[in-house]
Order: sequence, then structure tokens, then C-alpha cells
Amino acid sequence: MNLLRTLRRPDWIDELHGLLLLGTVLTGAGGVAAVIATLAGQPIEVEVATETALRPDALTGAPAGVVLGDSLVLDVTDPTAAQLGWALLATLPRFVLITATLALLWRAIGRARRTDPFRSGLAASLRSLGILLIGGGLFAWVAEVVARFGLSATVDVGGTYTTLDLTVPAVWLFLGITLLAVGEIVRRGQEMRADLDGVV
Amino acid sequence: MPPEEAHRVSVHIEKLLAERGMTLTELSARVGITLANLSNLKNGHARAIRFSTLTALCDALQCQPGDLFTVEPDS
Repeated sequence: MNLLRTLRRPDWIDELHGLLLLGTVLTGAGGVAAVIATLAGQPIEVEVATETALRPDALTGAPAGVVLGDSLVLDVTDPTAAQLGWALLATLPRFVLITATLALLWRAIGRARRTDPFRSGLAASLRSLGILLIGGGLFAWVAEVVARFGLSATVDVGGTYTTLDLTVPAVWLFLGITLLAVGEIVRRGQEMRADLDGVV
Repeated sequence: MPPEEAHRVSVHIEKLLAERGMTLTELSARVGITLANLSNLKNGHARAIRFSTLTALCDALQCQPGDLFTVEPDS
């Protein structure tokens, strides 16, 4: 009966809290596994410009109208320390940011769930998280771009290569502004609650 | 908008209760609000009063809103 009631009227804050914990654990574990795999000698993928790495006629047997793309992914099977450093810089900031965000959100939602959402520090937590996502997201994106640029320079196939995907910082910015807006909604709710508390 | 906490409204519930020989507990039972909220109102700690509460208070005390509240002159 309890299960049926739970399925019919789920506590969405509770569901979100559980999902955030799962996300934090999985992302954290994924990040640690990625770092260990990189340090243990897993081949590092390096993107380089096709035009400097291959001759124009390198692709054989392709039907008419099919050509090589702008970039080519190489596997570095025996990476140097510098390549390991660049590879970690290319992935680690994003993992750290996502894990930290999920963990902080999990803590804030948990506190709001246990106590009164309009009395806990939920608004301040969401505001801090929004700022973290905007600032941290931009930093992680720049670090990744620089790291991929640096990594491509280490493979010596004639030049450097990186892609400036502007949708990545745009997504971080959107998520950050969303959290700031939700934080503002909660803050206004807290003000209304404080007003109502004084009404007889 | 005036500052939230600054007000010069005096509440005369105590005087009206004394005149009618009624206790605060009796009044809270008649009006249907908690003793704590009524005490807050009596001591000037409430920030606002609902029209429904005001109506019930006036009914219970047989008075008008002006008998319950006065605004003190600005010093």
C-alpha cells in the first residue's frame, strides 16, 4: 500500500535528493576512474588538424563527395608527463565542477527537505551555486580549450588544433542563471513568509 | 514604502479587556486566534492584522477599530 501511495504521489524533493546523490557518486567515481586510467597509461586521445597531419589524398576508397573532416583523433599510447598533464587539465576541471555542483545541490536540497525550505539557507545556497556554475563553467571551458590546444602541440604533426565550442559556456551560463533565478524565487518566498509570520 | 519595523500604532486591547472584565485567554477563545498571536498583537509586536481578525476582535469586544488602535504622534 505504501509503495502504491509512493508511486501515485511521489515526494519530488525526495526523488531529486536521491538522484543528486546518485549523480554525485557516479560523477565522482567516473572522474576518479578517468584520472586513474590516464595515469595508469591508457592511450590519450589527441585531436589534430587533418590538413597538417595527412596528405589530401590520404583517404582512399571513399565514394565521390566523401572527404576527410577538419580534425583527426590520434591515440597517444605512451604519453609523456606533459601530455598526461594536458590530458588531465582537459577533463578534470569539468569533472570537479560537475561533482561539486551536484554535491552542493544535494546538500542544499537535503537541508530544504528536512527543514522548512523558506527558513533554511536554500536561497543563499542556490545563489552561490549559480555563481559557481557561471564562473567555474567558464574556467573549466577555457582550461579544456587551452589543454586540448597544448596537447595537440605535443604530438608534432605540424601545428596545433582546438575547437572553440561556444555552446559549452552558453550551457554553463544558462544553468547558472537558472539557479540564480530559482534562488531569487526562493528568496522572495522567504520574504513573503517573514511578512506572513507577523500577520495576526 | 515605510520601513518594515517602524510603527507608532498603539494597541488598546488591555484597556478594553479591563473595561469589559474579560481575560486575554477568553478573548483568544472568542476570536479564534492563538493566545501567542493575541499577545503579540497586544504588545505591538505584530506586523499586520487581517480584516477577519479585526472583525472578530471588534465583535468580541463590542468596539470599533478606532477603539482598538491609535497612531501616536511623530516625536
